[in-house]
Amino acid sequence: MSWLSDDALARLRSAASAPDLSGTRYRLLGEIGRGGMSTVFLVEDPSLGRRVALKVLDVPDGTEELAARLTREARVLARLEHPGIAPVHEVGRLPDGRVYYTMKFVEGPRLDSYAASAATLAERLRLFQRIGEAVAFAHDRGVLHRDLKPENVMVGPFGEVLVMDWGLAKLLDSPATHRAENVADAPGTESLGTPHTGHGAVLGTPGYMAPEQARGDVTCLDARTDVYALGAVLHYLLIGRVPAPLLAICRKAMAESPADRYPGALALNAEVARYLDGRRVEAYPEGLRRKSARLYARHKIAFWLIVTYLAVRGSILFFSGR
Amino acid sequence: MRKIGLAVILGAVLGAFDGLTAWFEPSVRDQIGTIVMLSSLKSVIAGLLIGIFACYVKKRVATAVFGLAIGLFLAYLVALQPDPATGEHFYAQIMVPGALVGLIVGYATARYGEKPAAQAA
Repeated sequence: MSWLSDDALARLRSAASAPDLSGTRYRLLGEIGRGGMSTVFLVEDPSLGRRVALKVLDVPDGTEELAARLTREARVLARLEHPGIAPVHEVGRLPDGRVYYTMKFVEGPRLDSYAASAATLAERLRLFQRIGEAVAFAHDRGVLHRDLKPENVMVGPFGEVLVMDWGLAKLLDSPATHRAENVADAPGTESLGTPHTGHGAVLGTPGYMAPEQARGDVTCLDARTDVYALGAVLHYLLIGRVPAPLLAICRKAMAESPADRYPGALALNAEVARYLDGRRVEAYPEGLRRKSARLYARHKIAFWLIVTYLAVRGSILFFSGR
Repeated sequence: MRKIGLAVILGAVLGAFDGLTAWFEPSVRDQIGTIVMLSSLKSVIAGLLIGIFACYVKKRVATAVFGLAIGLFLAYLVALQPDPATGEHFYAQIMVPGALVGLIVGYATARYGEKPAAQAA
């Protein structure tokens, strides 16, 4: 009798967990990632000749609750047509009854690994602004992400930024969606594809979760909850010697009270834009010396051109008068 | 239009300032009004050309170099006129500051004439 090697066992396990795609038009290529209750696979759509990501529940769900949540996640994604958000293509069921949806397959590193390679602070800040734009768009469509973190942001091969994993998203805009959310956030429910912090309504990632979200206070969540997480992401992107105005922006975005934060992702983006343009950052009070230094840095070339002109003009007057 | 307007205004102001510096030269102080007027006119023409150039060429360095060249050329035309009293030409005294004024107008037009990001979006 011969025992199977660990490698062979791993392969068997992998084959056993692979979804049966026989009833769909997709062909399995491999596994991309695994979350708490779902797995994302790389599949090929032969009819269009493209690769897409397929997210499917790990186990058939007898109560249909998880299936409903995955469907809801797909519907949330479907309403967010934005270059910074991976588009969803299709929702369906596998032959074994598991719900799945397919979305754009994003090739590229996650933000946490990309950030280390992004050369300059300005590049990282522009990257952050694109995240903010996608989140602001979602807020405009009445959707909170609630799990923004570097691991949930992908950077494509052409520098495009995609905010991923909307499994904890919360809809804000209508009483109907509020009712659906109350069910989804009820104690004992699980998040989809995302680690949760324990039993109960506390869903998210420590370090990126706003205090009101960490308390499980679902009624207090609004755009400023994501602003907190964006502030944490911004702080993550600030490697090395961090300019004081940027730290002030992070502090304001991550204020304990939502009232002390930026009102939305666009306001936070605008503040970062002000920093990038050398303008005054509202979260950072500056004295005369710092203001002079900032203005000098912003208008350095113009300043030296004028100084050169005055020096040349003065020299001509001086020497022609001798 | 924003760039042309800015370049013309900058040209007028800097040209007038450049002309006013002639006040420190006693030999031409009595002609200060004519000098200021001609200097302003020269710089307004330079500003107009720089502004039009900046509307088509978006590169900051190119606009600054164009401004330098236009400033130098127009100043050369002015410097060709000799001093009526002595017949002397003041090439360096007119052309070097004129070129620098053109450079400043060119750079400032390209740098500050752009629409703010919020408006451009």
